[in-house]
Amino acid sequence: MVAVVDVQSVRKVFESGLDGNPFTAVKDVTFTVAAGEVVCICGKTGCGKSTLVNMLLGIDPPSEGTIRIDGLSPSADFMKMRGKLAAVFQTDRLLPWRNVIDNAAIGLEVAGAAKDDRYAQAKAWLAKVGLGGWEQAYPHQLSGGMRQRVAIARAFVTNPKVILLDEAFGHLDEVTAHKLRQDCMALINESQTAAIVVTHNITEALELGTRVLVLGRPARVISTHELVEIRKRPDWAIQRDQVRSDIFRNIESESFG
Amino acid sequence: MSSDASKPLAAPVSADVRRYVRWIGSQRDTLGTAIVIAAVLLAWQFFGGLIPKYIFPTIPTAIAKFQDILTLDGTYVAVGQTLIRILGGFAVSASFGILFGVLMAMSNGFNFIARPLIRLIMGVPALTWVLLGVIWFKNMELRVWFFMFIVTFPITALNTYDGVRAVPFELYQMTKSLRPTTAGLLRYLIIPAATPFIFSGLRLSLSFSGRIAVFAEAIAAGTGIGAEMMLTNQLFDTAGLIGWTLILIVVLSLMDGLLERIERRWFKWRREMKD
Repeated sequence: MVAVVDVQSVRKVFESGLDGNPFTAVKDVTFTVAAGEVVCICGKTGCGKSTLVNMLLGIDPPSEGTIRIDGLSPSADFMKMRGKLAAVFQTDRLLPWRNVIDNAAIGLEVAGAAKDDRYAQAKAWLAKVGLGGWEQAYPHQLSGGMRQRVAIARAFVTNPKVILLDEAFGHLDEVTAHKLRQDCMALINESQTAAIVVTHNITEALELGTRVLVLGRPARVISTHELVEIRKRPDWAIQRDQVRSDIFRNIESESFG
Repeated sequence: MSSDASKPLAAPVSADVRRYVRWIGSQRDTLGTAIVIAAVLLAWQFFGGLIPKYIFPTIPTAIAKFQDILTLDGTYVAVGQTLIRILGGFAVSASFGILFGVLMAMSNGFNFIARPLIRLIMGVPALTWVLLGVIWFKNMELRVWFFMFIVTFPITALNTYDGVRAVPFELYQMTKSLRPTTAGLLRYLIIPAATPFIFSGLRLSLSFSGRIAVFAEAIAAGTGIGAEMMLTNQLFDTAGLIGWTLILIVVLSLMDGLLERIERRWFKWRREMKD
């Protein structure tokens, strides 16, 4: 399969850390993601996941190594990447002065789509995430789960090649998070988008991922777990528990460095 | 263990009474204003009876003078002149102040120069600016506009600067991930997010504009409400001074009310704090 996301030997060093010395947030990360694949990146709090997210978004360039998304560099080809990569963050990050449809359509608006076109597409995506009829509501009138659904519609509306879920279900209650994860996965499968799920929740990673990458601290891939084949096995539940134990042990064995 | 079972139940409050109490609650601001005005009028009438009329006129004398002023043709010309000065000066200073504030927040180099400049402008006494305006500008309108501009634009600029700096990083990261141009970033995020700060600066600036325009008219121009007030002062016409002040209060209150209505409409997306 052709990789839509290609991350090769990425390293990020900040010139000045908390103690004033150079600080390595990401040591050496390499992975690829193909269309329709869901790669979960798991690791302890503070292991460099957010730095990796910022580099994937193109907000921070890597100090070394390369990131290619659909053949482009997210930071160097910043404007050319418009619409190709979308993100859903831990909090909904809706603009409170925009109503639901204007929030969902903002990616298309930035890309210069005509008003009628962007409203039609946003309305269709809002209906897909179960928010038909809520187009004119403002974010403060919605529940946390509904706001996150708007954020998901906002991400999918530009028909991106890659979707980045950064702890996207982390602040929701378990029942809402589970339902939203299922709905989001259905949309990813339907659109055959390459997905990167950044999470500290091992159960979530095992539920969503076709592959799980475990990061050490500072960020580097310390283990990779392919889930497609073992998910088909009749003893998947036992296998899943085994993988969970392995991931847990790998993360635990990491010393703070 | 005590029990409340033996206590009589409170009589149910009728829906009409509850509605009336709610209405009273919703009118608290109006009620407060009415109480303050009534207290001022009472004090005015009391002291007006003790002090000579030419120094402190009674309420009926002031009202009669106010009515006299309203019947004069020149009154509306003076009000119009002041109004145009306030609105014109406010529009110029607000536009420049917003632009200045945004540039300060988005460019460290500009901020490096702009902040000390604003500090310097704000440190100079208002009277100095008026007198400098009289020396520098021959045209009366320019004098008034210069004075209004120099005193009010730093207020809008600093509020805008604070507003832009307060844009949440999470919203910045989200908007940036959509890859807008700098103009797009300003349009979709920075300006709307900073608008509550900008509006509070504008209301303060408008209130200052009114006072400053009248002050400048009194000293540096021969027309407008300020000049009329100066004339009453020279004639020891305290009732006239109070009459013109009332006109000014009405004009400024109407303008502030208008801005408040625009603000409410603009911020309909905000969840109101209710106690």
